[in-house]
Amino acid sequence: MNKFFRWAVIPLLLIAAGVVIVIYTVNNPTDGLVARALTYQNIMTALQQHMGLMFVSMFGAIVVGVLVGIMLSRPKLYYIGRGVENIVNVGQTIPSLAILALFFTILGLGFRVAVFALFLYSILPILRNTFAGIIGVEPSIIESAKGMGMNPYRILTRIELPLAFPIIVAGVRTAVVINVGAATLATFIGGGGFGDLIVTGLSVGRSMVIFTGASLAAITAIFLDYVVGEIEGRIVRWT
Amino acid sequence: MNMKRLLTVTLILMVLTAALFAGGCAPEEGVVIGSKEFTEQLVLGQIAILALEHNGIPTIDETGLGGTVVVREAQEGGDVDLYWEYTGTALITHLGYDEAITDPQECYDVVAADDLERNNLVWLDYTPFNNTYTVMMRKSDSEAMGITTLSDLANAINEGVEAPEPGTWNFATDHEYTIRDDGYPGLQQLYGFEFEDVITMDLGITYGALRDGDVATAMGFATDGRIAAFELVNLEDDLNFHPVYNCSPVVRQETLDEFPEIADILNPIAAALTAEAMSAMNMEVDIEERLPVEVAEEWLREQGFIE
Repeated sequence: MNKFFRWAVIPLLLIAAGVVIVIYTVNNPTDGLVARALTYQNIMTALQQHMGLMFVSMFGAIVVGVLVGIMLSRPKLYYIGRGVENIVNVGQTIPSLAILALFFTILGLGFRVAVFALFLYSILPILRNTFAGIIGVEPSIIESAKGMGMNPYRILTRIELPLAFPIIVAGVRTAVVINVGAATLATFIGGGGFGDLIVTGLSVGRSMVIFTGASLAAITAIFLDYVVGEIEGRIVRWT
Repeated sequence: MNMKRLLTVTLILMVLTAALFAGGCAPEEGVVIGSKEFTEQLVLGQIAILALEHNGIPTIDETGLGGTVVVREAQEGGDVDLYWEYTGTALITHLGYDEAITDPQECYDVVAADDLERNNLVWLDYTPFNNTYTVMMRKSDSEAMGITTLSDLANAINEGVEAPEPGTWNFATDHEYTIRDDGYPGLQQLYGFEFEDVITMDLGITYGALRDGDVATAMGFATDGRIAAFELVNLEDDLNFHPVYNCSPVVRQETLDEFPEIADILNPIAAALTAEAMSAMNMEVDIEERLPVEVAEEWLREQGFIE
């Protein structure tokens, strides 16, 4: 009970902060325009869209990023892996707004295009860290595993992945934080989310609307970063 | 010989330079025409310049000066004598009224009377075109379904008429139009309908989203060149929800006293500036990438205002 409480106290505090901000701003709008933008319904829609954007793209990115990372770290594909790593490093220097704009020109607008762009963008740190983590395992450890008669599959699951795990999770955390930020830009191509509130507030100069959108996006980022961090701790203990 | 030639060349250069300076420094005489920096304003500014010059009134081109406030302050300070301003903008921004007026004549009357009294600025006749917010459909859908007004659209949506591509009555809008007093929530209320889905996006891409079939309807600005270029159509605001943004040449009283014929020159031109004419000219500049002055001259010739 105590343990659970300790785990849950920070997420609960964050949620409480978000709820307080929403209730306060909805009930104390500074003028009619703010009241029109900040309704419970609008905020719920933005929250749902934001969560949708993030969860779908992150889930896909983790699955694809980790699997491709593992594949590329196999000895046969190692040199391709090095090449891909370089491409990924270059890819990460492209600003997230440019990625969204690029996919807008290719695929059109809307929620799905935004999800797809975020998905591709989030793969990068996960893939890179998975690859680097597995490649970075001491060769002598793998040699001893081989000497003990482990087959490659067991070496991967019992030696390489557990040792690379902290690095992989660090990649996931990076991806999550980038993702929440980039998700606020989805609004420019019709993707919705908290960006709707932020940009609407900016367009008419109403800081309360900007504040609500921005703080909710920030709270979401801190919340998810914490959750991923906790999960990391759990799995490390479990393996 | 050589010395002589050098002297001659130097003398010629000196005379030329002096002439240039004299030309540059001579006190400039003429009506200073200003404008804001966007396409429509540049074209309107050129129209005024060409028309006045054609009628023998000297002008000085100060078009593309800056944003609304910059141009207006230049005029109030006497640095700009004439520029085209929108009635709705003057009403809300310059004269500080907080409620929009949706009748063109009424809005014009209020603005013209108030601006003359307070700032000694004369509003000449206003244009039929009205660069306000508009709700657009694709021309093909509008013709096929017989929807030409916002009331038609409201009826169609309320009666459950099947939506054109993408199959749902959705609406593309920029962020500002979702929150403004003259934005879509008020529009839906007045006409008594609701879009099935509203997609908020950057202003620049609503026209393309509608053309590409991502949405069935979209908001835009009534005289934007892309409306014609992308084969879209403005739905008539038959209940006059949107405030009016008709455009008028605004002249300082002193300038008009000096050149009273300005009114007779520009009034018929303003009357000929329909929404179709204005958006065609905007399109020429925006899509065909022609110069505002060329487009303005061509239109004035076609209309017979200049030879």
